[in-house]
Amino acid sequence: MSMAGLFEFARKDVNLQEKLPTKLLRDLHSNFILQYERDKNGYHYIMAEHLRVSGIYWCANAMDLTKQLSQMSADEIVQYVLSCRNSDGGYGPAPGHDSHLLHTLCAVQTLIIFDSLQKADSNSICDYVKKLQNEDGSFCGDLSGEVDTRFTLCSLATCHLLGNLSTLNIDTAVNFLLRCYNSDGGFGTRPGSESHAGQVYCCVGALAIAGRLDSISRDRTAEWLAFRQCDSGGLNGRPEKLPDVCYSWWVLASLAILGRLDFIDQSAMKKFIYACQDDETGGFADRPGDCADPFHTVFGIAALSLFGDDSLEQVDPIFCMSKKCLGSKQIEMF
Amino acid sequence: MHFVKKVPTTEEEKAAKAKVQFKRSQQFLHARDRIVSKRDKGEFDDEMLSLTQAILEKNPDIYTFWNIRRTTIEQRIEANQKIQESDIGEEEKTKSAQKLESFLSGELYLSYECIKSNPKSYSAWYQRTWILERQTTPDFKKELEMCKQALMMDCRNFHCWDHCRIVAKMAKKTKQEELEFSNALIEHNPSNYSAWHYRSVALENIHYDKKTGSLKLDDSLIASELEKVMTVFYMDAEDQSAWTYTRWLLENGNGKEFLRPESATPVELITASFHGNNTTLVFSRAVTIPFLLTFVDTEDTSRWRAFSSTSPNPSSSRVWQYLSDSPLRVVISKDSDENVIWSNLETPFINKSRLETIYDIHEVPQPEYIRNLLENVQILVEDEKKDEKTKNKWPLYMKTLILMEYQPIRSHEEIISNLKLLAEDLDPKRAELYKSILSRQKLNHSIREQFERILGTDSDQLVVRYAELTSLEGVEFLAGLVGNADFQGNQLKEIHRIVLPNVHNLTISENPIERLQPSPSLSHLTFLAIAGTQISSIDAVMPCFQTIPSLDRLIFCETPLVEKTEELRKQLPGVRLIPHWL
Repeated sequence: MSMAGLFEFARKDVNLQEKLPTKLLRDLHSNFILQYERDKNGYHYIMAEHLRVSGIYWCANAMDLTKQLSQMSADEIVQYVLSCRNSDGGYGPAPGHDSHLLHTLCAVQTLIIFDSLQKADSNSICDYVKKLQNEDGSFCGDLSGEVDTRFTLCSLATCHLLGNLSTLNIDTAVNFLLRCYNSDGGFGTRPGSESHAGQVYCCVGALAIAGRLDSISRDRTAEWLAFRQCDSGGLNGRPEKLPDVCYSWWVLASLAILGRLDFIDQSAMKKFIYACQDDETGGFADRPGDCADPFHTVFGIAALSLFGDDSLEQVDPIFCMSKKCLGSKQIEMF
Repeated sequence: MHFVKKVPTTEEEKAAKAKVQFKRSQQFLHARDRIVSKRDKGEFDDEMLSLTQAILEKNPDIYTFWNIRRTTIEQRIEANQKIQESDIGEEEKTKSAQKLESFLSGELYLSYECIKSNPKSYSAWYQRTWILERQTTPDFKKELEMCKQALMMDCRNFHCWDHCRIVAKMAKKTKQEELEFSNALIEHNPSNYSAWHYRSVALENIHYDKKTGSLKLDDSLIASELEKVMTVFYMDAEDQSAWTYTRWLLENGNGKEFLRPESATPVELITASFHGNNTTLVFSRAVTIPFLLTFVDTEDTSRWRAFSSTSPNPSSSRVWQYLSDSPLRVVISKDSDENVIWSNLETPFINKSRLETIYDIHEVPQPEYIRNLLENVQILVEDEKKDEKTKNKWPLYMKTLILMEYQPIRSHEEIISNLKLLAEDLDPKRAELYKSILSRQKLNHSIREQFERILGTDSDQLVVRYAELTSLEGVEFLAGLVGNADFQGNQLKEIHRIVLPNVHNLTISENPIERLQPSPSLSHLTFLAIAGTQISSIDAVMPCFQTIPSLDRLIFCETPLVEKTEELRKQLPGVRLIPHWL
C-alpha cells in the first residue's frame, strides 16, 4: 500500500473532485479489457495465474454487458477454460492448479457467456460440487476444507446453471446460511462472523436460487444495505469503511434481489461509479484516482446496468451475467 | 486492486519497472513449473517446501501451493505416527515428535509472515487454523495474543476476528473470557463495529436458550451494557457501531420479535382458515412443505402454493394455500406429542395474541433502562438541532426506533414526524427506507383501529386509505382474514408484492402505479379499482389480467387508460369495464 493509500485507509469516505468522468465511457472500457486479453506475456497476466479463470469471467462478462463480446476470441477462451478442468470434475484457475468452487462457477459462467456449456461435463461438475458439501449444510471451497458462505453461493449457482440444483442438500444449505444471519440484517462468512456486503450478496443470492428468501427479514437486510451508502454516494462493504466500486455491485444486486433498489440515492450512486472510471486507459478503479482493473470494471458496469442503461445489456442480479445469455436459466423473481 | 493510487510515471521509469517485472515473472514461471512437475511425480520433499515457501511469501493467495504444502505436511505427520507406533526406542520417538512440532511451528511462522505482508489473504489465515488443529499442544495463548496485536493495527480485519473466534473455540475459552477480549479491544478503540459485533455474539452464546431457540437478556445486563455503549455515542454521535449495538440491546429487551431477523424466532401458526377452494395457513415465519405437513392431516405435497413479496414461486413462505374444495384438518396447538389439538376449521383459527404483538395492538411495559436511554438520546437530538452545520441522523433515528418498540401508540404522531424529518432533511439519500418504516407504522396504526372487526367473522375487509403507504410488507399476516382490501390514496408503486392471496376485491385507486405486474397472489380477484392511477397502456395491464380469469369488474376512471376503453373491451370480453364515474 502506498502512503497515499494508507492515508485514505484511515478515512471513512472520499471527496469527488471536479473533472472526474460523469458519464459511461463504454468504448474505452472494451479497449481496456481487450488489452488484458491480448497481453499474455505481460507481468500482470502471468502473476495473476492463480485467479485467471475468474479473471476471464470478469473480462468476458464486462464485454458481454457492454454489448461487445464479439470482439473477443471466443474459441481460444473456451478452449483455455476447458483446459482448466481437473480429474475431480472441478475447474482450477489455470492448468496445473487445483480445482476450486470459485473457479468452477466462473468456468461455467464463462462457458454460458460463449454459449458453449454443452462442451462441459455437467454431471462431473455437479458431482464435484456435491462432494464439497458438509454435514451442517456448509460448503468447503476446495479440498483444503476452508468453509465460507461465498462457497454456498458458488455451489448453488453452479448446480442451478447446470440444471441440477436438487443434487445438493438445499435444506441443510439454507439452515447453514441462516446460522450466518446477523441481528443487524447482514450475513458473515461463518456463524458468528461480522456482516459484510460481499457475504450478504452471496447469501441473499443463494437464498434466491433456493426460493427461500422469505426466511429472512427482507426490510432489515435492505436497511443494513442502504446504510452502506456514504455521503459521496459510493457504497462501502461494512459500517465505517471507505466506499469502493465493487461494493456498488454486491450491495445494489442484493437490494435488487430484495426489490428495494430505491432504498439508496441512485443519482449519487451513479455519480460515484462514473467517477471511478479512468478516462485515459479505460476501466474502473475501486475509488476515483486509483488504478483500474478488470475486477472493478465488470462490477462497475454491472452496477450501472441494474439502474437501466440502454447502451448496456440488462444484468441479472443473482448471477451477475446478462439476462440475454442466461435465457431460461434465470430465476423467476418479481 | 485495492488502495493502489495511480501515479504518473515517465517512460524511463516504466522501462525500468518492466525489466524488473519481466525478471520476476520468469522466475515465477520457472518455480511454478518445477513445483507442478514435482507434485505430478509425488515428490513432496524439502525442496518442495522451500519452492512453495519462496512463492507464497510474495503471494500467499496461490491456494494450490498451500494445498501442496499441506500434502507434504500430512506425509510428515503420518511418518511420525508410524515411528510412534513402532518398536523404536523412546529417544527416537521423542526426537521425531519434537522435529514435527518444530516443523509445524515453522509453518505458523510462514503464515504469520504472509499475513504481515497481506493481512487479507484468506489462504494464509486458513493455514493457521489448519496447523493449530494438527499441533499436539498448540499455544492458544500466544495465538490470541497475535490476534490482539493484529487487531490493534487494523481493528476491522474480519479474517482476524474470524480466526479469533475459531481459536477461542479450540482453546475452549469461556464466553466470559471472550467478553473480556472484546472489552480490551473496545477500550483500545470504542468506535469499532467489529468488536461490538464480537461482543453481541458472545452474549448471544451465553444467553441463548437451547430449548426454546430464543435469546433473552435480563434487564440488569441490558442496563449495564447500555451504560457501556452510551459513553461511546456521547463521544461520537455519528458512529454507527454504538447505535447498532444499542438497537440490538433494546430489541432484545422487549418481547416483540417480528422486527428481528427471523432465524432466531420459533415458528408459530398465526391463522388457519378455509376459503371455499383453499385452506390458508399463515405462520410467524417462513416454512417449507415438509414442515407444513406436520400441521395438517394430509401427506399430499402437490397442492400447496406459497406466496412471497419477492418471488412468484417461492419454496418457503409465511403464507401457504392448500388447493381443495374441502378444508384440511389443522393442528392448532401442540404442547407435546401427546397433547395435540386439531381443528376442522369450521371457524378460522386465529392466534390473537401473536397478531396483537405483530401489529402493536398493546404497548409493552417500558423498563427503567429504556427511560434512561430515551433521556440520553433526547439530549443528543437537542445537540444536533443546535448544530446547524452537521446533519446527523442517528440520534433521531434511534429515538424513533425506541418509540416504535415501546410507545408505538402514544407516540404515533412523533414517530411519523421524526421519520418525515429523516426522509426529507436529515438523511434524504435513504428517503425510501424511512418512508417504508413510516408505511409500516401507519399500517399498524390503521390495523389497530380495525383489529376486532378484521378478526371477527362478519367482515373480511381491510381499509387503509390515504395513509402514505409505500409498501405492504407486514400485511401478509392477515392473508387468511382479508378478502376485500382497499388501499386507495397511498404511495404504492407496485401491486405484485402484495401478499393477500384470498383477496377478491382490491381497490388501489389514486396510487402512483404505472403498470400492473402479474402475481399469483392476486389471481382470485373479481373486482379491481385502479382509478386515478397513471396506467396508460394496454400492455401495462394485460399480462396481469391474463392471470386473473375470475375478474368481473374493473374501475379505471381518471386514468389515461380510459382512451383505450374500446381496445380493452376487445381484450377483456367478459369483464364489466367502468371508465367513468356514474
